[in-house]
Formats: sequence, C-alpha cells, structure tokens
Amino acid sequence: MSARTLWLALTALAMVPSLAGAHGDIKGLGSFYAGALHPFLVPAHLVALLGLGLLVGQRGLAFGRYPMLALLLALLTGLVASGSVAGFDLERPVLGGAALCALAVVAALPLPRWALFALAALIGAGIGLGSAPEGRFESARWSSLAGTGLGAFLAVIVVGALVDRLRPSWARVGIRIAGSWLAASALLVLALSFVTTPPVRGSSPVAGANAAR
Amino acid sequence: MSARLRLVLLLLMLAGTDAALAHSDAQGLAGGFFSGFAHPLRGLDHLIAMVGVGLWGAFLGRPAIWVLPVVFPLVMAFGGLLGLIGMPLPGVEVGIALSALVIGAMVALAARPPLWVAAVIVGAFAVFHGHAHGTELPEAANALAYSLGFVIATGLLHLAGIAFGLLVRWPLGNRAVRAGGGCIAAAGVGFLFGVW
Repeated sequence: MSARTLWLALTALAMVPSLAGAHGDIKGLGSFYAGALHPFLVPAHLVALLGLGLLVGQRGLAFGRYPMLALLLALLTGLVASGSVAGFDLERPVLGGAALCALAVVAALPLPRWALFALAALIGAGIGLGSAPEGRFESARWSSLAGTGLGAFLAVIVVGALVDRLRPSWARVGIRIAGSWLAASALLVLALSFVTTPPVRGSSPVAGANAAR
Repeated sequence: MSARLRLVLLLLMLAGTDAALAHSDAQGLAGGFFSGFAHPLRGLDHLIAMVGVGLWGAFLGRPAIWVLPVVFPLVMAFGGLLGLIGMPLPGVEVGIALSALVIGAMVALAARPPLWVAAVIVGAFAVFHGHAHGTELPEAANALAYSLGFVIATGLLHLAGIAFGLLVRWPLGNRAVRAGGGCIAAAGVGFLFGVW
C-alpha cells in the first residue's frame, strides 16, 4: 500500500467515530455529582432557580441575604422530606414561583423582603421535595440529596452575584428581557398543566418534565 | 484511479454520513430545547418578522427598544399555549405574513405610534407566531424545554434586529434601517401571496 493510500485510509478511519454518546445517561457520574446536576436537568427547577437568581441579583445580593437563607433552609427541609411526598404534583408550585420571580424581574418590582423570602422558600421547598432520588442505597441517596442542595443553592448565588454586578443600563434591560423569556416559558407550561389532556399530544403536558427526573 | 484508492474514497464517503438530526422525532430535554430553538430559525417568515420587531423597537428608541421584545414573548406564550393544546386559530400563516408586512412598513415609513399602540400591534402578531411554534411541539419532547428554546431563539432574533436598528442614530444608518424595514415589508408581501 502506498503512503498516499495509507494516509487516505487513516483519514477514513479517523472519520468513522461519530458523535460521542457519552453522558446520555447520568450513570457513572457518582451520586453526589448526579445530585448536583439534577436541578440543571429538570427544566422546571432550572427555570425557577434562574428566575430567583435574577430577582435576587436585581434587588441586590445584600438585600437578598435572608431570602437566600430561607432558600437554603427550605431546600434542606424539602430534600430531607423528599422521600415521603411521592405522588404529589410539585411542578406547578415550582413553575408558579418561577413565573412570579420572572414577572417581578420584567417589571423591576421592588419586592419587599418578605415577598422575596416567600418566593425563595416556595422554590426551595418545591425543588427539594421534587428531587427524591429513586432506587439508591441509603448512603448514595444522602450523597445525591446533598449534591442537589448544593447545586441548587450555588446556582441562585452565582446568578444573583453576576446580575448584582451588572450596572450599565443596557445590562439591566437585558436582565428584564431574560426575565420575560423565563416568564413566558414558565407561564406557558404552567397554563398547559392546568388544561386537560391535550387532544393532539396523547400524553400529559408535563409528562416530559416528569420523565426527565 | 486504482481500485484501492476507489475503495478508500468509498470508505471516506461512508464515514462522512452521520445520524439524521430531524426535528420531528426529537426526544427529551436536549431534543426539545433544540427543536424549539430551531423552529423560529427554520421559517424565513418567522425569522424576518422577529428581526423586524427588534428593528422597530430600536427605531422607536427607549422604552420601546426593550418593551417590544419583552411584550412579544409573553404574548407569544399565550399563542403557544393555544397551539400546544390543539386549539385552532384561523389564518395563522396569513397573520405571520402580515406581521412582517406591517412591522416592516412601520419601519420603512418611519411610523412612530404611541408605545401602547406599538405594543398592541406586536402583541397581536405574537399570538400567531406562538401558535405556529406551539402546534409543532414534537411528540415526546419536553414542553418546557421546547418553549424555552423557541422563546430564546425569538429573543435572539429580536436582538439581531435591535443591533441593526441601532444604526438609526446616523443619517446613513437611518436610511439603511428604513430600507431594511422596506425589505421586510416586501418579504411579507411575498409570504402573503405565496411567492416564497
């Protein structure tokens, strides 16, 4: 075989490997990391955390200190109690909280601290209760729950801190526009969840989100 | 060409083929998001009208520059809900074509209606766009991921229009923006009469 043919053959072989299918499943990541990723893989949770982060950042991280504490406590309580509330629809409260946060961001409402406190507690509890890992050993379960709590809390802190630092007027407008995107999506799916089974889809409107858990 | 070389070239061609990434069978979260994200980009009528919304917002200046891109997704979500639950809305395609025609004409004619009028016009057309996106939710795709996808893509198209519309502060840029509005209106006429 000539060098040219060999080179072509090697090129062909190099092209054979296609898209890597890694991480199609969360298997192999370890229970803590899998738990930490969980809030980012459940769209309702992610939208709620982003909405809350935007709101906390918009009001100022210093203003949001106690609401963040409420988020942490509600998350921990929800995660600990998560095994005992199976069967409840937790997506609606979380999406409702997300929609309220995002609408407040859009309107740049100067929410009082108690309202921010209540929203943080609602979202924290909803995410905590809705994050029960299934079919794990006891130690792995607690490890996963700890990861979920840390991941969710850090998500809000990081988004809040980033938004808090944004001072130019165009950036503040950008935050409100991002809030409108979150509000639109959350309201759409929230409304959809109240509508009876759609005739075209053949499945529950929230089935996709539930299946992602 | 030698037989061996032909064989290698054939291997190369075979290796070049990949999995078809059709949108209709999108599954789960990533599929839902990307399917939703791609939907406004795949339709030229959606794309042009969304750029037009951003262009008009920038042309009108503050606060329309951000009010219109905020109003649009919120009202579009309502239209999306109608589409998702399968509620028929007559004249969706006509409404989408008219959105490009009307919004483009507003920019081309340098129309400066009160903010609430501009918001009502944009919001009315947003229902048609949302309905079209909602109707095409793929089976098994996550509804929230899909809606996030099409809302974000729509917002980014608004941003593209705003970026172009910012040229309006210069005399030559003003003419370019108005000409852009004229092109969008002309495209709307084309969509209306099925030219494209």
